[in-house]
This record gives sequence, C-alpha cells and structure tokens, in this order.
Amino acid sequence: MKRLLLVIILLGIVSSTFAADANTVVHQLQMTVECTGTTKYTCKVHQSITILNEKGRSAAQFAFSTDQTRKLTAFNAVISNAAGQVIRKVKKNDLQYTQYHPQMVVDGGTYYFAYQPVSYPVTIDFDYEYANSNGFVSFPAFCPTTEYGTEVRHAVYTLRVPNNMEVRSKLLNMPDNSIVTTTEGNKKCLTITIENQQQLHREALMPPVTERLPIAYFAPVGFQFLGTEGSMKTWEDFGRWQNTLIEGRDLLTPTQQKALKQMTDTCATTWDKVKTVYNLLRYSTRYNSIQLGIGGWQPAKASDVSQLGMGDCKGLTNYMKAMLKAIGIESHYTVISTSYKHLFHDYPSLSQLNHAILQVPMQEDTLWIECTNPSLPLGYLHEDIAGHDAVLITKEGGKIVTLPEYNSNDSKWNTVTHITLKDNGNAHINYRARMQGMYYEDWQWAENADTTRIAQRIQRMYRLPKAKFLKIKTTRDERPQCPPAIDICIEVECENLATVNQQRLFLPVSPIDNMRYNTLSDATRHNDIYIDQDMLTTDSIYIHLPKGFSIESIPTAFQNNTDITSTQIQLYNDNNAIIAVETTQTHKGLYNKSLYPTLLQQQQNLLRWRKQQIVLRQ
Amino acid sequence: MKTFRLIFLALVVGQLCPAQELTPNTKFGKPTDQELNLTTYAAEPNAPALQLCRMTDVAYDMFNGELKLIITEKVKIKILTEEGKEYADIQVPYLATDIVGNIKATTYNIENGKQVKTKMANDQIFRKKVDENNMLLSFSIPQVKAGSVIEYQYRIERESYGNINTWYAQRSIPVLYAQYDLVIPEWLKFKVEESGTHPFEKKVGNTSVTFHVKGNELNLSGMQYRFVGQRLPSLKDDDFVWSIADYCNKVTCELGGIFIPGSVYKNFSQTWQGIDNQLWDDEDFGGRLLQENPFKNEMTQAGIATMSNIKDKARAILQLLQEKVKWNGKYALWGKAANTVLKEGSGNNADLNFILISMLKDAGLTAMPVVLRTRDSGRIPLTHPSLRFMNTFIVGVQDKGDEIFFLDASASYGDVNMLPSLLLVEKGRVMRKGTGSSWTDVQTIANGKTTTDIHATLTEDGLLTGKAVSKYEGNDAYAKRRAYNQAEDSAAYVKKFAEKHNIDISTYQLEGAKAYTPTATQTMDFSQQANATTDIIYLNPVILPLIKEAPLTAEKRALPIEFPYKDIDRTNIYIKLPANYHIETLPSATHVADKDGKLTYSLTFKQEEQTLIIQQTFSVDQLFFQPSSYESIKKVFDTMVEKSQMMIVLKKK
Repeated sequence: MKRLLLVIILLGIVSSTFAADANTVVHQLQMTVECTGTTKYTCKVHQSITILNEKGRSAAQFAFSTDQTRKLTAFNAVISNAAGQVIRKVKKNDLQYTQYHPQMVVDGGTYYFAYQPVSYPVTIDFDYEYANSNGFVSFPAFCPTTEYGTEVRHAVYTLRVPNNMEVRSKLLNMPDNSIVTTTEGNKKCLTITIENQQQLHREALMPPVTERLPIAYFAPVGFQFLGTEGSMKTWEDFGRWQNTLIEGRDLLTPTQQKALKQMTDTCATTWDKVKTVYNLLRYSTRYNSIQLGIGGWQPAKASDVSQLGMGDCKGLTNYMKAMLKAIGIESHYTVISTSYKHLFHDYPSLSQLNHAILQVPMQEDTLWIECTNPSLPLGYLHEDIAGHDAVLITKEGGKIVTLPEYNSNDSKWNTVTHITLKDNGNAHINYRARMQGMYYEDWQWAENADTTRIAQRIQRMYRLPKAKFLKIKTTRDERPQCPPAIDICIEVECENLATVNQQRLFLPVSPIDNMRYNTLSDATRHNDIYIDQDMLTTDSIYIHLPKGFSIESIPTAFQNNTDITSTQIQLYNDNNAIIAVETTQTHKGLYNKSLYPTLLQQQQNLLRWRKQQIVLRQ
Repeated sequence: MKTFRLIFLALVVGQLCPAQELTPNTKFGKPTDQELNLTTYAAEPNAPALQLCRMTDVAYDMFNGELKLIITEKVKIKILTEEGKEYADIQVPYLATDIVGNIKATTYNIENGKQVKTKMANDQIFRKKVDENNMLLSFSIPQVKAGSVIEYQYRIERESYGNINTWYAQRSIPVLYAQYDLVIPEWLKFKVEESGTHPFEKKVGNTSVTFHVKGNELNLSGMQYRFVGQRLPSLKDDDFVWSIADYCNKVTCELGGIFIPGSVYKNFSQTWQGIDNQLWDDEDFGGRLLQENPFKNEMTQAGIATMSNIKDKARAILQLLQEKVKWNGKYALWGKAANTVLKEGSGNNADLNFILISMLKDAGLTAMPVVLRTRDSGRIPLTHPSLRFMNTFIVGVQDKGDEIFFLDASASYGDVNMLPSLLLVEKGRVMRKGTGSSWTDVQTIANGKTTTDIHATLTEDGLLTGKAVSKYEGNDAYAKRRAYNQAEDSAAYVKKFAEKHNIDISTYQLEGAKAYTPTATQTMDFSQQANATTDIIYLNPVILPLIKEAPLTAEKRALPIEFPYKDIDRTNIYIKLPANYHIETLPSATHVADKDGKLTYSLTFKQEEQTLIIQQTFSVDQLFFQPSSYESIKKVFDTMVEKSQMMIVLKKK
C-alpha cells in the first residue's frame, strides 16, 4: 500500500510539472569536452530524459557513428519506470553494430540500440563517452535537443582546453554573454548553462528549426585533421585549407585535353562550350559515393573520375573543372550546404557544408553547375542550392557568395486544359502544362520517363475516372540565361467525368483537381508562418459543353486574398464553353502567427468551393 | 502475281525477323555486336536495362576435408537508359562465415565505332558488416553509360553447405536468358522444386563428382540439374498481391539428408511431422513452451480464474500481456526466454506469444502455437516441407469442443479471432504434442463486416443534417481502430474524415476504439450543403461512399489480385425530403459483379412517402482472383466510384 501511494505521488509530480503537450523532458544534460591538444579530445555525456508518451518514443533510441577520427569508448544506459524502479540496464556490449549504409561507402560504422517503452512515463539515464584521436576541425556542438516536443530543464556544456589554445564560438538563439570562461590551472574552461528551454512544436510552414533552437558551436582556430592542418578563423582561411585539398587534382592527360578541345572548337559561345563539356559529364559519368578518411573533403583526382566514369559530388565537380580548364575556361570549386540556406559569415565550420558544385564566371551571368544529377539542364538551380550561401574556393582563399534563386517571374506553373464534354458524361481532355523554374524540378524526371509512369502520375494527381491516355509528350525548353521549363502535353479520354441524370449533367467545378485535403492543421498555432519561395500558378480550364446543353446552375467565382497568398478563380461563359481561370500567388516571407487562422480559413473555403458542381441541362 | 508478291514479301519479312530478334549469348568476355548495338528491348520498350544472361552455378567441393558449397554467379546486363545505370551498382548479401572472392567486373562500350573494354579495379570492391551474421559485398562497375554492356561475377564459398538460396529467375528488369546449374553429390539429398508461370527448360541427370582429399581423388556420383529461363518479363511488386515472390519463376532447394562416410547420417525432415519434431526439440521453440507463467500474481489480481467463458478469459489474458510487454513490430518464429523479454520490456510476436501460451495454460486453457508463414513472405509450398518457409506463429486456443480460436500478441487493435491481415493465411500448422499436428485455415476468421445506418433530413435550402451510425466487426473493426489510433490525434482523424466526405461533423464518437472487443461503433452527427436554387435541390444521396477513387486503373493485368479478407459492407440511408419537394426521377437500381459473382456491389432506391431509402451493399467473398477476372473486378470498382457521385434532382411541387 505504501508503495502504491509512492507511485501515485510520483506520477502526480510527473504529470503536474510537465507541460501538457510535451513528449519528452530532458532533466539533465551534461556534456564535458576535455581537449589536450589539436589532435585529441574526449567527450563525456550524461543525459537523463523522461519520455512521457508514444510520440516521444524516438528518445529511447541511441545511435553513434564512428569513423577514422572518433570512437565510442564507454556506454551505459539505465531505464526506470514511473515509480523509479530500474527496469533495464544496457551496457556497451549490448549495443548492436553495423557498417551498413544504404547510399554510400563510409569509414567505420554505427553503434545502436532501440528500447521500446511498454508504458509511459519512462526515464532513461544515458552515460557515454567518445574520443577523438585523429585531429578535428571543431568540438562537439552543444544543442540540448533537436527534437520537437522536448523540454529541457537543465543542460550544461563544459569545454576544457589548454590555456594557449585559441577557441572560437558561435551562439545561436541564446544571449551573447552565455559563455562563462574560467581558468583551471593550465586549462581554460568554457561553460554554458541552459535552463528551462521550452519545447518546439512541429507545424506546417514553420521557420527552420535552426532559427529557433539554442545551439552553441566551438572550434579551435588552428586545427589538425586527418593529416592536414590549417586555420578556420575566417571563410577565407577555410578556403585556403580546402584549396590545398583540391590543388593539382584537376589534371587530365594531353590526349584528353586535345579531345576536349576538338570537341568544343566549333562551339560559337562559351555557353555552348560549357554545355558540350557538361553533356560529356552527364552521359559519361554517374554519381556514387565513397567517403573514406580525408576523402570526405578531398575530391578524387580528375583522371581517376575520368577512368572510372563515376564519382561523388566533389569528384564530379573537380572533373568538370578539369575539363573546362583543358579548354581554357576558368571555373571554381564551390562548397555549399543542401540543408541550410545561410552560412554563419562569422563562424566557418565544416558541419555547415555537405556538397560541392562548380561556379563558372561568364560574361553575362555566373553559371552554377550541379554535377551529380545528369537529368538537370546546365545551370539549373535546384531547390537544395538555389538561394543558398556557398564558399567559392580560390587560391587566395574562400569567398562567401549567395546563389541566385528563381523568383515568381521565373517560376511558373501554367496549365491550359480543354475538356470536351459528351452528353453521356464522358470527356476528351487536352492538357498542356508548362512547369518552369522551381516547378521544373518536380517534373524534370518526366522528360526521359516512360509514358506509363507519366500517365500514372497524372492519374494519381487528378484522379481522372477511367482514363485512357491517347497521347503523352514532354519537351524541355532549355535556353541560356533562362530558367528551364518542361512542357507536358497530354490527351486523354475519360469516362463519367460528369454524372448523368436524365437531361442533366453534373460536372465538378474543378474537374481536374489535385487538392484533396487541407494540409494545415486547425490546432492552435505556435510558430510564425514561413514561406521560403515566391510561387505563381495559373490554371485555365475550357469546358466545351455538349451540343444542346446549357448551364442550369454554376457556382459563383472565388476570391480570397491574404498577405501571404491570394487565390482567384474566375468563371466565364463563352460561346458554349465555360472558362475557369485559377491563379494562386504566394509571397515568400516570415509572417506573424496571428495570420494563421485567416490562412487556414482560406484553404478551407477553397477546398469547399472546389467540391461544388456545375449543372448542365439539355 | 499478287500471290507471288505476297509470298516474296513474307519471305523477306521472314528473313528479316530472326536477324532483328535478340538471341541469347551465353559467352562472357565477348559481347556480340547485337548486344552492344541494342538500343531498346522490343518486348519491353520502356525497360531501363535488360539482363542479357545470367549463369548461376551451384556445386560442392572439399577443402581440408571440409565440404563446402560453391556458388558462382556471372551476370551480363545491357544498360538501355540513363536510369538503367543503377544496375551497375551491385550489392550482394552473404553470410559472415562465407568466403567471397573472384570478384570481377567489366564494362564494354562502343566509342568511335570501336569496342572499348574497362575492367573494375580491386579498390572499388567493398565488404561491410551488416550485423553479427550478415555481410554485404558492394561494388560499382566503372564507365557505365546508356548503351554499355556490363559483366560481373563473384564466387561464394559457404561453410553451411545445406543452405542453398532460392534462385529467382525474374527481376525488376526483363531477362533474356537465365541459367541455373546445380550439381549435388550423392552424400546430400535435396528436394529441388521449380515454380512460376513461365516454364523452365529443364534437364536432370546423373553425373560424377570428384573431390580432392589429401592428394587423393574421391569419385562420387551425383545429380545434375539445369534450369533455363528465356525471355522472362520484368516483375514488379504492387499493392494487390501479398508477395511478388509467389509469382516469380524460381527454383528452391531443400536439404533432405546428409550422409558423409565416417560421420553419422543426418536426416533433415522431409515430412511436416519431422518439422514438428524439430520445433519441439528446439530450445527456442519447444523449450519456450515449457516456461512458467511470469504473470501468475497479476492474473490472480485480475480475477481471470473467476471468468467462466473461455474467450473472455483469453481476451483478458491478451490484454494483461499487452499492458505488460510491448510488441516491437517484428514477427519471428523463435523466442527469447520470458525473463529476458520482461527485462527488455518488449519483444517480437514469438517472444510475446510464448508468454501468452504460458499464461493461457496457467488459466487452464488448452493453447498451442499455430506455425505459419506471413502473407507478405509468400505461400508455403505444402509438398515441400521445410522450416525455412515458416517465419512466425500465432496462438490457437481450444474453445468448447474441438473448435479453435486464434490470438496474437502483435494484434494491437485486435481481439479473439481478430488479427492483422498479414497473419491470415490459408495454411497454419496447429502444433499439438502427442495427438499430432494438423493444418488449419486461418482465413476462416478473415472476415470483416460494416453496417451503417444514416438518418438525415434535407431542408429546402439544401442543408442535409443527420446521424450516421456504423458498426464494424472482425477485420473491419481492426482496420477502423488502426486508422483511428494511428492518426496524430482524434481531432485530426475526424477532420480528415470530414474533409474526405465533404461533410461537417458536429459530434463524433468511436466506441471500442482500442482492442479487446469484437466490434467498434462509430456515431456522428453531420451536415452537408447540397446545391440548391429557389425551386431545385441537386443532391448526392450516397453519403459516406465506400470509395471515392478507383483502386485499379491499369487497363490490363498479368498478376492475380489478392484481398486481405472477406468483407461485407452494408449502408442504409434514409433521407427525409422537404415536404413540398418531389424527386424528378427515382434512379434505377444497380447490381454489378465480377465474372464469378464473388465481388459484388448493389445500390437500390425506394421512396416511402417523403423518405428516400437507399441501400448499398459491397461484398468480397473470395480472397484470390485470377488475372482473367481483372476486367470484371475493375468494372465493379469503377461502378462504385461512378455511383458514389450520382446526383438526384428534387423539384418544388
């Protein structure tokens, strides 16, 4: 009985002090990094975390990747139930280990274990330690949680370095004076404490997590890393180091150089020359990822990539650079992040970068080349790089640049559809779509895809009833200095597009409609609204009525404008046809969450409007 | 003259055709011009690549007195498109105890009219540990372009020589030629079986096998098999078959016995009784069935002993177990000891089911494992007894008399006889010690039933308001609970449900939303706005239609169609019409069925005074349909979609 009471009391405490909707609570996190010099550090982690419900389940998993520089040296986890009773202990030997990686060949492997809580709450105390022994560019970062729905009560990060080691840092979403520096003998000690960090709610159209979560980064100014050394005080420094890794690796044999010259001699413009070389790259190589040791940062030699006909982003970019060099066109190896749009201008680090592309200075405009995706046209700025900061690598060092991005003038989605309706409700549909700029990317696969796949996609998108595809044609429009576009032309016969009842035909007001659900939740909004790109779509539908039919009932036009997005659907009646023109424009920006209910209502209204019908009568 | 011309033409065409037709070339190291110049494969013009030739050789050898299985693979592929380049990235899973070697790969391209050969260097070959027992060999073949012919080969030396993998002749790209050679020395007895819809050319005969042992030759007799598959179509998985492997052309080899001179003859079961015994003797199976009930006290506290109904007892025990231990999402045949499972707090269904059996037995019930192969792994070849085909078990409990009902710890939303459809197999082996095991059809419980009653009132301005009550039974209850519980929360579920059906829901309730009841009942108050003018209302009377989109869209189908369980869904709709309105024309009834009458849909209309009565029934009375039924099945679904959108017109009197 006594025990039961204790359980109730504990449960009571647990449930009364945690936020109603949090999934996990980190009670305590202690990260202690001890650095003895530029080639070694150890990191000790203690984390006590309570998982409150099924949604927080992933916190019961542990995964640690090892490589040539870091090893897991100790691990211990103790799992306790709500009453505080230990229900399981996990030791290092209990961890599973795999070297399997689905996409690439990498050093080392991953230790992991996953606990499946039986009931909640459950508390896990993790204690583990890892050691770096082969040099490093930065220290472990301090980020008490990256998970949604996690509250952090108390988290402390301690970094001890030799007194003479110059340490640089970058703090995100926390006060500038968060670091407390003290001296302990011949060691310098930097400490950060975070108390009561509120949870982050996962929502559609929310700003990037990095703009909300407190994170602290630390790194030595001068570093040694896998046999290389350098400084990373500025991006210029970083560039100098990166340059040492690429220098001299862009050499091709005289025969290859000659062949490239012959191939491009007759090209009228630089663009044509680059395009010829790019075509050679895309049709003679393929992407494959092998990241071993410094190979994670150093491209394979151009001659090796040429010989193998494959490489990773670094290898293919460097090979393209080498080929352009052979025909006298200068280009720059450029490193970029596909995850983060902005780099910290004042804090260079490797963890911000994960990809390489090529920059080619041109007279009219700079050309950016993605070398790993042969299906993209030359110079296309795909969504993972468009508008992103990048570091141009030159002999003099690195230079931060920002790639251009497609705006609403460049990015267009236009469809023109002619629906010729028959008196039995069947229809002949002629659909022409142009996807340009950022919309191009969603459809570029269609250019070389087999027609069955395109038909399936169109079918899934528009749910055309009993569709029989008569014609499917895709054409790419690729011109210098123009955002690429793909044109899709489809002719299809559908049965029962309209429902027949005696002399009447009932046709959905949006007969080819791809909107099924309201993607926005109607729960209370926590985050501001973030739209990362301008968008403009125009869809025109001409419904040609069957002979002898006229409109008995037709919905009124739709118009709904907010600061974020505006939608207009106009319906015209013209010479035995109904013309519906729908335009939606969305403006990029960060908007206050108070606008959310209006945005939600707008979507709901639109969804409802689309479910209406046009009634035609004979 | 005309006839002559025709004959001439036929001759010319006749001569041209064989020249154009691709002939298999089983030689490696020298692709033919035809192979090199091929641009598309006529039988499947959209194929990204074509397997020109594959030679699999499985034989035995002895090294240092140890018998080893030697597997040699040689593959030749034509890359036809840019997309097809991925077929040059090779991954070969193997066992940690295997030795893999002789890995070679070559690419052949035509450059400036000349053949260029590129060999793969050894530094492109990687071996990675996947887990304790499994490894992965991976290599990427160099210089691959659309148009390349690639060849690769490897050799596996296997210690566990009884373990011959099933040889699948078909793959996701079309296959021009595939050959499987198998030589089995007299010491080993294998049951070799082929299956698939494209008959193999097959040769079986006696042969001699020579081993070299300590400098001496050892001559044995043996069996030699050759299977050749030619011009096999590509095989792609889809949502309408449980396991594509069931329909793939393949050869399976099952070890029957080993007789190596000087060692004891080992008989590997060739009968299902033998398999039963193997399981009884296995510590991780038979051993687990002897374990003590770890939840004695909890069962006493829950008052299970006082329950008189067997099913109620079983249900209460399942609930107790699921509250104590969590299913980890995996299915297995062997289990860990109960104390280990309890310590870890979770386990696969076998871990949990062994505990479940111990609890049921402790409660005085007769409980036994029902061993089976999950539906997504394919059917058990009954004539081919092997433990290898079994991958899990469910729990059978004897009710009054001889009747058995089923339980499974993985049935998170289930009940007695209410299991995930993955477990509803035609053949389950009821394991009874002493009295003997037997096969049972678990699909007898593969049933779902939904009955919906909708009472609604339509006003003159077109507003339809009403109450809908749906009762779900069997697998329909399971499906409903799963959908409801897997949604982010109940509000999100209701919102999506309302949007899907274009209604507003003012109150919603799902009774029996968790497990352990035979039914679930959904009750809701809803409204829907119909289009109305001053004297006409346009109404779609099929409220809450069963489907809104046709699931089958392809014009033709080569594979069968499998349903998860038998199902019957009945909806009765009563709509009270506004007093001064009449229905312009009452729609006529619809009845549609597949060609054998096993999949049916009907919709009828009746008017009683001012009430419109609609009855809708959809029924699936068979789980497996041949491809020849495809057209008629598609028609049933198309009709359902079409009818769900039907409109009636109400006019002011």
